Amino acid sequence: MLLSFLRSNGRESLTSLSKKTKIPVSTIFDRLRLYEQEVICKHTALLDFSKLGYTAKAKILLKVKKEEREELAKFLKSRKEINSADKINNGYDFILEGIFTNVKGLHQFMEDLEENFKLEEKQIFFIIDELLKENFLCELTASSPKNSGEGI
Amino acid sequence: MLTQKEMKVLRCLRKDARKSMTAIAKETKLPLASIMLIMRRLESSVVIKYTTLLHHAALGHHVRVHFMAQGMNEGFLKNPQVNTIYKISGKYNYFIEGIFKDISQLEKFKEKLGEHQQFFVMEETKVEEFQP
Repeated sequence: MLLSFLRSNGRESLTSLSKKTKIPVSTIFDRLRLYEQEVICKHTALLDFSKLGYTAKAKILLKVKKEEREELAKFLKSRKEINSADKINNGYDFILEGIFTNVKGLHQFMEDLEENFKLEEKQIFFIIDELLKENFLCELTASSPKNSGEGI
Repeated sequence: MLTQKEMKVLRCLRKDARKSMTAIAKETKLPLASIMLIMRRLESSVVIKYTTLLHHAALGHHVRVHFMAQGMNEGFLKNPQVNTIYKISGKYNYFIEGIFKDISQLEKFKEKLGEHQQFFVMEETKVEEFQP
């Protein structure tokens, strides 16, 4: 339940979490520390990148030769345009989410990719609209995510 | 467009959304009062939400799947298994990310999904790391 509230509002204060869950603040504090070691990847702010001047967002599917997979993973980790990347199956090796200033930026990234790797397959899907983002396990009754509070 | 000060605060929040205002003030070398105002401005413009990203497998949700689907109905927006939905261009119209306990839960979910292609996530390489 605690994690559900944090999924809905990652900045919910300990006091507020304590009120909502009826768990003492000290217990919440300890649990959060434990979760941060075991199940929490990170607390972050999800942004509307188009309002920051990034006009091209895309999902990209890639397939490379088996011996290039590890090197490609390193390359993707090092590229700042890549927001997320997962190793996948079913005919492709990676699915990426890239955020670019414009379409030219995306093409430049793809050119860099092709200069460094022999792509066997690629598919690009432009993201037109984000209908839902990071909603799994979100507590429906949680307060507005915009109610930031003081954090920890 | 955001000011340099706003960008500094935004980057802090992107790195760690639970960072206290005091810690943000220290890191950005901005007065605490400014941090409060800046955060309010960011929250009413570019911040969609603050969230906690999880290692879902550690919580017993071992199956994470990306779907490229032709269609989608309103029900998917409220489906508890759905994490993310994007409208996309190209061969498919929607990208859907679903998280499941097991294959049988996945199979049930797929009954409601029309024509689609699915990709099982084998390993996370990078998660929400883009810094503006």
